[in-house]
Amino acid sequence: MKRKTKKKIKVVKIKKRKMKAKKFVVKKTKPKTKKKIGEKRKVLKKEKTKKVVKSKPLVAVKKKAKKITLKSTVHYYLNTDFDFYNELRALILKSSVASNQKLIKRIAKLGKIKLAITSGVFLNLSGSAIADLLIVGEDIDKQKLKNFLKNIEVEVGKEIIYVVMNQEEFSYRRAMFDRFLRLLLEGPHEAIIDKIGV
Amino acid sequence: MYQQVLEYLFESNVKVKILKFLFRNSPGYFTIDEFKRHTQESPKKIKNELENLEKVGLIKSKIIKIQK
Repeated sequence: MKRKTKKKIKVVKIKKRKMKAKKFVVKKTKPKTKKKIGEKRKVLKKEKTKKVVKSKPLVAVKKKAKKITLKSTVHYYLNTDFDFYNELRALILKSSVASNQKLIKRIAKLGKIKLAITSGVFLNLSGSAIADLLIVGEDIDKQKLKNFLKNIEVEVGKEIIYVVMNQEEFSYRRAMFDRFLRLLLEGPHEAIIDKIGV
Repeated sequence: MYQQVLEYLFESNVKVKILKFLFRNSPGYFTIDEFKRHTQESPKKIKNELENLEKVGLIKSKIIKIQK
């Protein structure tokens, strides 16, 4: 029984499809029969133009795909043979550190800051420090911190490695002689804000 | 020390930012997009300054083709 009903449904579906197809054909043929010869030409022209428009974007897309594979960009770099290269380098690297007073003001605004330690870039050390900035405190606004870091990165001209933790984590890490903290505190560093007493 | 000495000496914030960025990351090739991201200045200003610096000879440019 089931099979028969399925077959029946299939037949009905096919009939419906045929009906639909027929309807579609009839709709298409209608204007042809009604319109005059001139109008027919117009219709044909329109269809031609449509076809052309349709074919264009396909070609364009292909061309774009080819272009993307080879992208030529202008890169700028320092000329090390420049007459005053070493002098300029010394001048800029020496004075480009953000001033401490500014830093203290800005960091203090981020939240309840207990401790702030600078190292690395801020002390003009070249890549020897684990982190450039350590901030210990509670209720630190993440958005403000993000903006602050962005500003400082622009001023310094380099990405800053920073660590933020609360006081609990800091005292825990300190008590267990955490490697990171030990290296930072034993190496050259400067505590700008210090309410804990390191 | 007086603040922003370099900015006054070179008479341009953008130029100092570019120079700082270049000297801090010294052996490196950068596009204008990267300058824009790290200095947060308009690409027009950056391009102007880069062209000036290139005229003097401190900076060189290179066209590199990248596959993307």
